[in-house]
Amino acid sequence: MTEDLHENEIDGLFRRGLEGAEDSPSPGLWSAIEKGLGPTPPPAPQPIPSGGSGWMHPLLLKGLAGIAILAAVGTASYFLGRDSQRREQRQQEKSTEATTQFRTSSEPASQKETRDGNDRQSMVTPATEADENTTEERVDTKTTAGPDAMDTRVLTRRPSNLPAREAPKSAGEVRNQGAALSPKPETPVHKKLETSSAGNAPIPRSIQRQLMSGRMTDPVREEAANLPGSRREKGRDERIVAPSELTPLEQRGYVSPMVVTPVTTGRRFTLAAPMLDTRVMAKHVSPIMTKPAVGNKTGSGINRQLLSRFSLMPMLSSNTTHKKIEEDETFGPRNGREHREMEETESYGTTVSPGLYAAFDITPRLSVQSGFSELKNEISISPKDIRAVRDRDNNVRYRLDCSAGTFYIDPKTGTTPSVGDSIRLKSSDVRTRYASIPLHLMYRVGTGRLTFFGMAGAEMNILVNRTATTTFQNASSQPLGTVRAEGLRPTTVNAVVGAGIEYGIGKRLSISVIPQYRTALRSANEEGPVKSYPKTVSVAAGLRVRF
Amino acid sequence: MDDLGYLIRGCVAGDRQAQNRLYAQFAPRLFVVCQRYASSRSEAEDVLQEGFIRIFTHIAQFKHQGSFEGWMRRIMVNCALQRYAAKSRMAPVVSMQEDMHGGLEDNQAHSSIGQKELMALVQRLPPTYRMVFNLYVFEGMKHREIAELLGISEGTSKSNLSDARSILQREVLKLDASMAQKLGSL
Repeated sequence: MTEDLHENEIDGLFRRGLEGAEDSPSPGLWSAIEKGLGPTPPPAPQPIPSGGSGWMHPLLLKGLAGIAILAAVGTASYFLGRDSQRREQRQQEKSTEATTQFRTSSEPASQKETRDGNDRQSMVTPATEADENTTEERVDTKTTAGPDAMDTRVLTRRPSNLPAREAPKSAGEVRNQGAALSPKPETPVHKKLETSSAGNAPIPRSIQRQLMSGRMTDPVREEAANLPGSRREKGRDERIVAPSELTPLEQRGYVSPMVVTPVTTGRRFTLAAPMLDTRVMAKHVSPIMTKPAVGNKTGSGINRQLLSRFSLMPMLSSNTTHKKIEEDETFGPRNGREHREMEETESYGTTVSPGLYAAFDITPRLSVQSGFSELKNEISISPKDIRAVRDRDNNVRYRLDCSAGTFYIDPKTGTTPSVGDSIRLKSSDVRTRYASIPLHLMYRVGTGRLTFFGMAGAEMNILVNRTATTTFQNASSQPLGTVRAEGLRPTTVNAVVGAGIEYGIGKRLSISVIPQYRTALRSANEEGPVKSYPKTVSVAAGLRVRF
Repeated sequence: MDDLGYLIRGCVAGDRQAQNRLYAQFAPRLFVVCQRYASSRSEAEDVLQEGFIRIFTHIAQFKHQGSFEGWMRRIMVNCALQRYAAKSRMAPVVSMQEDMHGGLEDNQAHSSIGQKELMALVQRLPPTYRMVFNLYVFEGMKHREIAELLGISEGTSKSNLSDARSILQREVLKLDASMAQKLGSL
């Protein structure tokens, strides 16, 4: 005991005398250092500060770049998917067209062919009974009255003995008229039909109805012929030209300009079939259509379709962590001992963490997933000796180094320790908790209720809690309290890969089980004797709810 | 602290004026650290010079967490240890059979010993003793750590520390006695 006291006195004497002392080196030393540094380098570009505490690590940059690439791929896929949705919508419109076009005869339905997939269409008018006397006439027009321009070809048949009616509208004229008479969406179409192209000659409802139905009786035909602006062209077949070259539907842009070539044969009265611009009609005339081509009562069909591609998944995840520990050479003189000791004394517990993921289906097979989850690590450290050292504030405290950071512990009893004093910890429980924001890309295969998927991505983890609860090994096993870790990075980035299985239990519900493996792309420790890279194997189970 | 941050940024950018100011601010304290590990003042200056070159070369690696002075001090200790390792042919350690129970019973006596005398006593220790004494007393390392760092056994580390203490104790007592004699003659 006496010997110990003397030892402490010797140590204390030299600590007091030399710790913090100052002595000036030779004046010429700075010159030697300058020589050793070489010529003054050009000003180096300043590294980008990371949260005011250090510089952005290249691995963090790589992680962010990866996330940016994933986001770019997701966005591109989203827009590509939206285009395909539009194409489907157009096809739906075309099919609706057939039910809404005007017909003036009981002849077989128009023969329609689609060219170039979508936009260019040809339509052959219904054949008349005097088919043998007709010739085909194709007029290419371009409708620009609606929000979307559309090339349309109207193929009409006229009696061969009739002079070709002057092209009612050249493409340019039609375009001009269409532009001048752009639709007013707020006005219902039946109101629009009440006014002729001149705008001052109302068309009787009986004619409107027959125009809409495609059947025109003789009295009505006569009435139409007598309308202001109408004219009756005599020939072998009677030809009645409508009050205007453009019908009200045409005026409003609902119908592509058409060649009106009514031909009577006996008691039949045939109009060249006009073609509806259903995209315009879809916006404004859905109330009078038998079935809306697109949209629902609220007109938010597209939004609904978009919403149906989202899903939410509350989940629970069971995590088992192990760590790759390396010595940090920059911390000070290292001897390879710390990491071995940590590997021997630290044991990791299994934790359960909640999370909430939101997924968006870019395509039926490809999804992007993000959200929030908790990532916890629990480490139990077996009994070990720790020594008193000076902390950053120059206070002497006991230091506990572990893979989850450095802890400075104040003894609750006794005097302030001297540098080099040691105590034995009976137990130490270290907990770290991160808020994790993932970005996953998922690819699904399988049909029916059962789906398999693979996933890969990155997670940004934000440190929210880091504590150690220690117990001093003495007669009473006195607790030393809970202290916060130092030297941990505030954010880390993980790479994640996983595979999962999903089973549908309803129209909107499915159960998912997802084994995952995540590994840290950068060390969790910023300053300390070791660098630790947590690696976590987890199994997540969740209930996916589709909108 | 802001001034220090400004200096560090200047050093990262290679500003010679900032380096000079940093040197002027910290060299006196770090020189004492170097002297403790060195056997002479000139050797300590060599360590200090090498240490500062290393500091300025690697200052961009400082993570702005914790004490900047502590970071520089660790670099100086590393330099001193590397120099020690390079001089692997150590001076033979004289066997110490002196009485280890002399004790320091009069605190008043040795309180008058100054920094220079204490430094001279440490520097006169055999190199291994000096390293073990410094690492244990000033850096707070355990014998196992010291043993692995210096390439000796744990028992040797303990023995060297004990011997270093006994040498220092004896020298301090001698110094006290000579000082008392001088005072008496006056």
